Amino acid sequence: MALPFPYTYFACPCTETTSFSSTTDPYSTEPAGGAAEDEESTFHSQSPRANYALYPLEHLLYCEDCHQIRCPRCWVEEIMTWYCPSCLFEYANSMVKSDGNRCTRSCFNCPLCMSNLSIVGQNEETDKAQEGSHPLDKGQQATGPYFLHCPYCSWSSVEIGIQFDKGKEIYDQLQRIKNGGRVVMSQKDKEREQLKLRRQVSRGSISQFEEPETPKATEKESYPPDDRDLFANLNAFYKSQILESTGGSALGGAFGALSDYGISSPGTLSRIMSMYGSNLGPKRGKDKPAPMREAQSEMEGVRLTKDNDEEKIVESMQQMGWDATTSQEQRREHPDNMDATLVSDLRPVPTLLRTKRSKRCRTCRHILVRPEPKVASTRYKIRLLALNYIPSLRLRPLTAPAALGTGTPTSSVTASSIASSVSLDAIPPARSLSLLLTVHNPLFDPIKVTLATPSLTPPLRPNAPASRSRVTILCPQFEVGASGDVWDEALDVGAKESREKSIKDAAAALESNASGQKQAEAGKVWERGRNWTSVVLEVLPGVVNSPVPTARFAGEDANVLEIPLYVRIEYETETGPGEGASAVERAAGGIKERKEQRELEYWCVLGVGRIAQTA
Amino acid sequence: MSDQVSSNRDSATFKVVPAAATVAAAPSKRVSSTASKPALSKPPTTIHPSAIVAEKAVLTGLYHISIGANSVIHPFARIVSEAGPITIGENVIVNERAVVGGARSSDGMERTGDGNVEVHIGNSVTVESSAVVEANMIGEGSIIDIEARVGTGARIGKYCKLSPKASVGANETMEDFTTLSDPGRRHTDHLLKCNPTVRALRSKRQKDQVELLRRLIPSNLAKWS
Repeated sequence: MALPFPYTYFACPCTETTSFSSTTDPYSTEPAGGAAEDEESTFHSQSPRANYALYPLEHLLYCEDCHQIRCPRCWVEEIMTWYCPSCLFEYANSMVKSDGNRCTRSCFNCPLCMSNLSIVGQNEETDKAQEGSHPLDKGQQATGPYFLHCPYCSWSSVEIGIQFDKGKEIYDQLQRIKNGGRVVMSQKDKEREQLKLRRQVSRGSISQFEEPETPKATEKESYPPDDRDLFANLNAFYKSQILESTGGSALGGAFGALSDYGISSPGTLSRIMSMYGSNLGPKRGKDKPAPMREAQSEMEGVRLTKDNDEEKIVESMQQMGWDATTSQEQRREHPDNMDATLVSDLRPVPTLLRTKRSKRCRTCRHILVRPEPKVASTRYKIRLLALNYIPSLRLRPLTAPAALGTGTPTSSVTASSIASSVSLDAIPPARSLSLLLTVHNPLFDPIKVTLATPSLTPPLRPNAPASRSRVTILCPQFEVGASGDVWDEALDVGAKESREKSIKDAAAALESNASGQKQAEAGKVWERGRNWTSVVLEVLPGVVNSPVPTARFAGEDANVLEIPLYVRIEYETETGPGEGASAVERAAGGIKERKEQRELEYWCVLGVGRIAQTA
Repeated sequence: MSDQVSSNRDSATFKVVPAAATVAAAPSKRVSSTASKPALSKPPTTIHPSAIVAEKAVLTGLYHISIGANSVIHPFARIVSEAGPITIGENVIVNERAVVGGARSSDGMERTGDGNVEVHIGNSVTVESSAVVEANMIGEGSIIDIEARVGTGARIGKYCKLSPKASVGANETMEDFTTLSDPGRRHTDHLLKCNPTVRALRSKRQKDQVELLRRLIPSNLAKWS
């Protein structure tokens, strides 16, 4: 659990559909059966499964239609726009589908350190030097060959022999240049070349199988083809194979008309069937075609390992040392770099695109979050945060309520909480601890809150009933006032009485303060504000022995005191004509503003702190 | 040289430390308004008249500090010659909160003032803000970036670059044209290595930068003479 103590996690109700059975729960001390029914009705904060159900309130959303909390498991994300985080250019969905999820303009990341590369014109600064202009004069045009330069680790594309003629559309230019400055043939040239080669091969007819031993002395062969070329070759080879084999079968057979249907044609299917088992497909006798052969040469898409390839790599690694080899992260960054052993084989990495996503409720398909589609805008059109719908719970230890009744309630409480320094990282075991639970209401209607908790927390270790802590909520039922403008209360005449009452309360608090310490009383609210109420929780922490290293479940959180808390909220709200009304009602019309009773219930986990371990 | 330095430091623990050194070694590393309290000793200095040393810069220590022509010491930069003389070349820029020299070495040990822990900073070096330079030697045109650390006795070559937060340990060496990035990866800057024009441009840019700073930082050499 990452948050500092004390924390509050909220359980999304979607976990209730999958019940916590006692057989899968290693922390269950109850004998199977018997009390299992009762156990299932409470939330196991120590269950391994609970980790997947608990979220801080800030991470949750709220569906206004289902009136329910929504967690990442119960919303669906939809990609709205793709954009490059570097140049903020927006990419259409179709472009992403065709060109991949990387920026195809001029944004690149350094292959060594992954920071953004800048495009530098080589002659920009030389011009400046020649002119001898003033240092503060700017605005000179960059000219001449351009290269990519990393401002962090000072890597530059000059190192891998790549320079560009233009300062724009670097992606396209880079596609055409290999490391070392070799220019790649365009796709059309490549196809022409392939055709020529293939014709030569077919003219030499039988020499097809000797192809690997007698490589053609074209300029292409002097460099090993890269993965893309190989794939194109392989693709072309199999296409031609399919054509040949289906064409061959069509010559004498009854399937002539189907010959040009390719691999998916029924003819091909039956042929494949007959290939694998003689009695499966229909017997076709003599016109069984020659089976497709495998690719055998580089021209057909096979990469042949030469004997001295690996020796060469080892040799160059020996020469250049550790720093010249690539790390795993560098290789993983881009498919082009996956086979790069040496730093000189790396290529600049085009920047990955990012997305803006909207979120929908899985159950009712209503939109929960919808950002503005414009890339530069960080605002949201719709954003239903649980924070604005669910009362937030805050916990803090209550030990020295000395400053109560002075100043505004909130400030005095925070002051006292700071003053009381109970170390939550080492709570003394088996000594009663008072905690103050403050419930803040974000709604514009007053709410009735009912809290419930199992009197004993789940055991922290299996078969350690002593580690269960006893929890008592002194005031489990109370009301929390409505949220709203701070001045509403002051201006509202109806609220005057309550204000006077609160003043009286404050005076009483002062009196009690004068007589001694304010005592937490059962059934009474500790303190109340405009939209918040705090109640006292009494905890008797269990005893935790120092962990046995061999214990199966004694992880690092094995001494964390967590209190499962059930919260139920009831409130009455005004609903608009559309909202909350069913379609039938809406169709009937005549529905205006009306009061609606709503309730919401969910489990929370209050993380109090770590119990000091006894030897 | 580096071996000599380390042996001196080892033997120094048994030496009788000069009284002035123990007094001067006391101030904390953090630069604050209390940094210029009278406990700081004023070191003997040779500052070129064209150098820019800000009023709020801190030059302290026992040994000689020399600052070359057109060098810029920003306000709140600290040049501490507790452990040995410090030589700063021409066109050097030492930014605010950077420490050159230092009363404590990077391993937290207090350095005794036997005068052998020298610091040479070459021409056109930039020491960025919050960097700590205790190196024996920093070559021409190197850049020590923000919060980078160079340990005692380290030798940095020419046109090296320490990326932000990178650190070089005591007595380590970096060859010329090396870039050290934060995870400790070294990489040779071929662009600078193979292009003398780029190097010339670099030094020209440094000069331009100094000219700009000359307008912005009021110099007060009289304070240190």
